[in-house]
Amino acid sequence: MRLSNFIVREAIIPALSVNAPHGCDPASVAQVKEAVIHEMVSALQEAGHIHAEDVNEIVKAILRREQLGTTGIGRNIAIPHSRHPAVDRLIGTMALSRTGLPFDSLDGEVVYVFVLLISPHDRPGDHLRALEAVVRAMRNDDFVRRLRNCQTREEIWTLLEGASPEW
Amino acid sequence: MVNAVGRPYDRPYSQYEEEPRGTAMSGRGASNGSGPRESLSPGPRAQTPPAASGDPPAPATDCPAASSCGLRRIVRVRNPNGLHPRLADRFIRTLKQFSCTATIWNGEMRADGANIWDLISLVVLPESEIILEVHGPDAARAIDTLAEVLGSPGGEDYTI
Repeated sequence: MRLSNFIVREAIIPALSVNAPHGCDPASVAQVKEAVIHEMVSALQEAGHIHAEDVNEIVKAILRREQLGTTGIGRNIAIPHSRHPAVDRLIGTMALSRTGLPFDSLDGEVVYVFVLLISPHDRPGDHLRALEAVVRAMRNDDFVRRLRNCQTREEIWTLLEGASPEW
Repeated sequence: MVNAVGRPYDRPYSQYEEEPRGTAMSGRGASNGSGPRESLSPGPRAQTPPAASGDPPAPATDCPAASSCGLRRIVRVRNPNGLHPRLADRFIRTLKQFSCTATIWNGEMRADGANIWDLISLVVLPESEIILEVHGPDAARAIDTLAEVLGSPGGEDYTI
């Protein structure tokens, strides 16, 4: 599986509107998480991949998942995700933060690259393979550097489509 | 184009859903050579994993050269979401309680049990059999607990 198989092109966010908080206290981090996830889920809705009435429930599900353990897996990457019946196939989006955002990451670092995944309940294999695809790509420092240098949605999409399969 | 284990990359992702276990992985362990099943002694290798969650776990395998290869156990992952990040995180946190290292094999793929990126890369599907290999002074004490974490159906919220 490749990132371009499940990331919705029209929902890619080249620069999140969420700003870094002044502090990194738990309340501030929780606010950042909610804002990032809401912006990304809304992008999927605006791209026509989920219904407007499902946005809040999906955001809640992803936040509930975050409460069980952070998806900030380190190296400035986070993969907020959840299963939800509002989708009938795995979909995802990608967002970049220019400033870096606190996300309770395992290594304590801020996050610059977010990949959000939503999958139906009955496709655990797709979900796991998508996570693997994200991790495989993000292990490549050159790919991440080029990704973070992208300024537009189209640049990001071109990079995703042209990425080496090994990434 | 194919990767090191012969998987074509250009198929739509939906075609991977029914792919046989052990062929759909492409993490960093793809070229690590043969997995540990080949080196398991006949007895442990032939052991059938517990059929139900209440069954006792298979005993740890004492390798002929235990100091070099540690203890190994076949574990069936019963979590309905497979070895997903939360379960991987739980495994890592449990591992940190012991003075040992762990390697997990899924077919020919292996992962450092302390590295969540490695564990995600294994793509362990529900009901897969994996091999847990534990090294270190705490290995004998740790393997039961670690196998329990990996093999437990959970008790977690599977809906998210």
